[in-house]
Amino acid sequence: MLKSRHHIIFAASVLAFVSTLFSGCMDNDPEILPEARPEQGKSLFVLCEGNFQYGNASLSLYDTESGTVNDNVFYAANGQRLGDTAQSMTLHDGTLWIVVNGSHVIFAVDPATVQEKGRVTGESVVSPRYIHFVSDDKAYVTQMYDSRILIVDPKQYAVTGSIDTGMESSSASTEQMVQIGGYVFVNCWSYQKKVLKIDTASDKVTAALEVGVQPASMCSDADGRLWVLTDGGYPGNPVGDEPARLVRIDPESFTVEKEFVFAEDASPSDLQVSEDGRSLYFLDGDIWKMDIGASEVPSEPYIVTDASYLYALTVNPATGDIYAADAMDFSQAGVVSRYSPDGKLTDEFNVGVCPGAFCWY
Amino acid sequence: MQISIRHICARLCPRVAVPGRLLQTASAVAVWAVFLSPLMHVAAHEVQCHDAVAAPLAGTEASIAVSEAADTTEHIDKAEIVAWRSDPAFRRTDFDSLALKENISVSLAEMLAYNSAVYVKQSGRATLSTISFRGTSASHTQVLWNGMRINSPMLGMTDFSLIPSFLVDNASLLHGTSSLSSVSGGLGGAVLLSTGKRPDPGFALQYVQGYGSFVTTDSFLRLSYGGTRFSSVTKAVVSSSRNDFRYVNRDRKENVYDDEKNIIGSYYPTERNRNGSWLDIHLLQEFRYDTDAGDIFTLSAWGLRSRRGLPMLTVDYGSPAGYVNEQKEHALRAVASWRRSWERGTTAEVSAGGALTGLDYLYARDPGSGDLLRMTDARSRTFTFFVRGHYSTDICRKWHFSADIDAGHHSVSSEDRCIMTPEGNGLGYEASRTEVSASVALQWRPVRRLSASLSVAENLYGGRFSPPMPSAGIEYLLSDKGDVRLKASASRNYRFPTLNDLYFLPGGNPSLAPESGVSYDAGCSFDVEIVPDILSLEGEGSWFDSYIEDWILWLPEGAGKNYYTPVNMMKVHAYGIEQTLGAEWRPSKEWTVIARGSLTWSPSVNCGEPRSRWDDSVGSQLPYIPEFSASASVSVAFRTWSLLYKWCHYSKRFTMSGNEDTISGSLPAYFMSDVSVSKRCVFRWGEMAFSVAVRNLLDEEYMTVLSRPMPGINYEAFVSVTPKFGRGARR
Repeated sequence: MLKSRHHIIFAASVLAFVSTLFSGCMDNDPEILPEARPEQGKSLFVLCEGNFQYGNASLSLYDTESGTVNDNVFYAANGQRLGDTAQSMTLHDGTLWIVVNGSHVIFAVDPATVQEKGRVTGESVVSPRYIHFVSDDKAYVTQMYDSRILIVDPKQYAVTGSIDTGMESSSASTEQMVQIGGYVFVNCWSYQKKVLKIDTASDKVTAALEVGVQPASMCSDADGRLWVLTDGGYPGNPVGDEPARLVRIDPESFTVEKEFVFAEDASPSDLQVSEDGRSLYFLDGDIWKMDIGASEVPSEPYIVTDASYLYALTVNPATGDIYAADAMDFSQAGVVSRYSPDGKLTDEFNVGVCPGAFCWY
Repeated sequence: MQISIRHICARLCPRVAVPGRLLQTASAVAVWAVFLSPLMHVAAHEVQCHDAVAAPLAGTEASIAVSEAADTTEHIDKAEIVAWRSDPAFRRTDFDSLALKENISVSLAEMLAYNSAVYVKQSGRATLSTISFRGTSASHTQVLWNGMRINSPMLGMTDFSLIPSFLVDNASLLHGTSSLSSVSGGLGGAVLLSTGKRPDPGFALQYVQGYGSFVTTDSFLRLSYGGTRFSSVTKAVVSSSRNDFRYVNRDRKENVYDDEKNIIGSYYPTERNRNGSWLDIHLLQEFRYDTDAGDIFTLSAWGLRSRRGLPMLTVDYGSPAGYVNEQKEHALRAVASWRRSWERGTTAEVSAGGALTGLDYLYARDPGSGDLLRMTDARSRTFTFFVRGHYSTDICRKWHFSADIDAGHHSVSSEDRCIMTPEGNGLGYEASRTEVSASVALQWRPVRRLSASLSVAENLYGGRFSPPMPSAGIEYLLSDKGDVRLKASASRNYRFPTLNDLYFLPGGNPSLAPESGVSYDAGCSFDVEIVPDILSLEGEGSWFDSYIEDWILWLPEGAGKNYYTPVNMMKVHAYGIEQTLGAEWRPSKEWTVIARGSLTWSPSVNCGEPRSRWDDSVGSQLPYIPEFSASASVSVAFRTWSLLYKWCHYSKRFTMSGNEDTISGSLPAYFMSDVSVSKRCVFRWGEMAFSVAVRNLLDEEYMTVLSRPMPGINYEAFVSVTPKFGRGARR
């Protein structure tokens, strides 16, 4: 009798625990966020990289007229995260293309609703960085590690081919693209020194030009010349460690016309051009401005900021307003400061983590 | 005076594991004790001495003579102990071999998650698992294995998922100020792991085989020989899993397209965990020789080989085919030691050892060509040599003195073979550092109820001396009845930068200053038998408060964030309360119910200077440090059956320094439950035990790290075989 009672007690204990199998207590439903409705002509998308391997990239939206900000607008519109390490955005033919490097995906998004229209994926999308549209039917996607630049059919969201850059894989790097005439110029950043010239008709690299250690950003000016900003590497860098340079290139002859060497301790980045193409902007702790006809780099910043770590820069093509993103400690909400063309602070607002790219809509 | 082993040990060190005493984990005498019953007397057997009367002992090596008979859990009749308790006033949590094997397949990380007040950060079984005390970081936890520091000299942290609890005989957590008694640099605390227990007389064998969900297999083998003087223990662990559990991916959607590539629908896909397989192999060999004069010589060698896939993120759209993201670790650690105790509480110990560690990390994808494109091919080799000495003695009845010296040398070679230098080497660094630490300590016991200690340590790291690190503590026995003790302690500590902090390419910063911490601790403990041999209760509560300055953070450097560099950035205030409570109830000879719980409140706040007026990190809780954590376990044992239920909880963890409450700014609080049932069968030829463990009992969907899913409910069944040899078999 006693034995059976013990067994009953033990069995009851087991059953009590087993019964809990049928109930969980944690809420896992996706969060519902209010959807944003960007208005064309007064919207600025801010792409926030997030942190590598965190999967916390996000897209913020700023209304330049009302000053309102919406964060995580991609998540709000699509019910899914943007991904890991969002790198760049390009607006083409009514579609916003977002390159998410760590997620190996390029999203096509309707900028009016921020809803996904399609995505480019595939095994050849190894480490995408930037997308450039040669035409409505053809886009180039640069990559790190992979020596190929991908050719994408944006209508089919499919990779249709590639351009061999001849670089050694693993340390290969192709970055930003600027098209001048029938040629696309590509700076090769990580552990590289070159700018490539690609014939868009044949999709082949026709020339390469050494411009300095690690050319990081590019733009073209009103005179149709190409400007390249190098970061100079770092101590111990196998391809070199030198002061950063700003290089002006004649795209036709593909030769260096002029070279500006920065001070040893300078770390210029994020080369941008003004709406009229006559001025260059870049970041180096503060915001710097330089006339394209200047004979030397400026000695004083154009706008002195109290930012922690300026990480991205853009100039409103319509108004000339300057926007600079502060990534703070790269582990909290970033801050974007808006300045009038003459350098006066007019607004500041929080965005997502590591704001690294802008796109005007 | 009637006294039992458990009483003696409770006095010496309240948490020394002794059968019959409330063990640190409630489960210790429950489910897995069934598996480990042949080992149950090991703990008691370890309690040994030459004379049961007036055996002056030191520290946790307290010993009392017991019979050589296998079943040494019986009370002995008379004993009087005169001994100095190790580190009075300092908070310490000990786990014995049974507690460590409460679930034979778990790593030390998982065991601590359910049974202690530390925070365990992991993203699934066989993934990087780190432990942090009291709101500090993983690199502020120092880990010693048989006296040898096993924190990576490159990274500063220890991966506890690579330490099967099966391989460890004893583990101790030294909380906050108490870590300085064993090792410097543990700004949060320290974990001491030891092996080398003397096995039972004669030959013994135990084999455990487990099969579980996701094609998981766990094999454990223990072979031992215990002679009069010489003994040997061999342990082997082989663990593997496909680890491809299913989960609903709520971080991304699959689209449904029409013929013109328009999206006409979407859904959250049910996926398998991709690239999460592992294979871990451990082999531990120990030899021990005990002389008649009391010398103990031990040699322990531990080899491991591990290959682990690093699962893809939930937001990775890449194909798992042609994808390699794996880490391989090979390590060989060996420690030889000699220890001897004399009368008058004198103990001397010398140990020396070394460790060779190879860590390879490969990240590669097939870009469609059929060949792998290597993006990271990092390889590091580390060699560590150390020698350590300890001496302690009673100066008189009221004073006890101890001194320790520890010297180690680390050599590191690290490179990424995807980035080749002009010399044909991978981008990386080679560096070495000699570290010397010395400390002296005095304990004073003016009256029986009061004891106090004072110690000073000094470190030399690669030619740089640390400032002196003082530590002081006081303990007062408030009541004999219930063993109620009041404790308080304070210390200053320093942690030197790791070799990666100093020399990593790119970004290493040779001018980094050491992190410094000041900690205060006060608390109370009790241990009471409410009904002798039937109901007992114990508990401990501590308040702690610490400031850490020059906290090292890796931040982007260079134009366009092209690399990270470490800087002395933050000042952190970590404070809070740790509370543990345990009860043991034996209503009859056939029933044992043990319950234990812990609760920790640990705000850990950045209180440094803001980087700018927008800096939200100042005043915020540090990322991935929960403010509240709790664990509980209940075990019910009836004859040869046992049931164990375990539960743990972590409050919301912020992922960002600014504590933003956004979709990825925090991870929700979670509650986790495991349960297991066991049955032991005794035969003439030996014993068998059968067990089923259920993890994530409530089948919760949760994440412990952003974008890293955790498995839902899963199962593992075990069979244990323990044949009897020699006299045991004949009985």
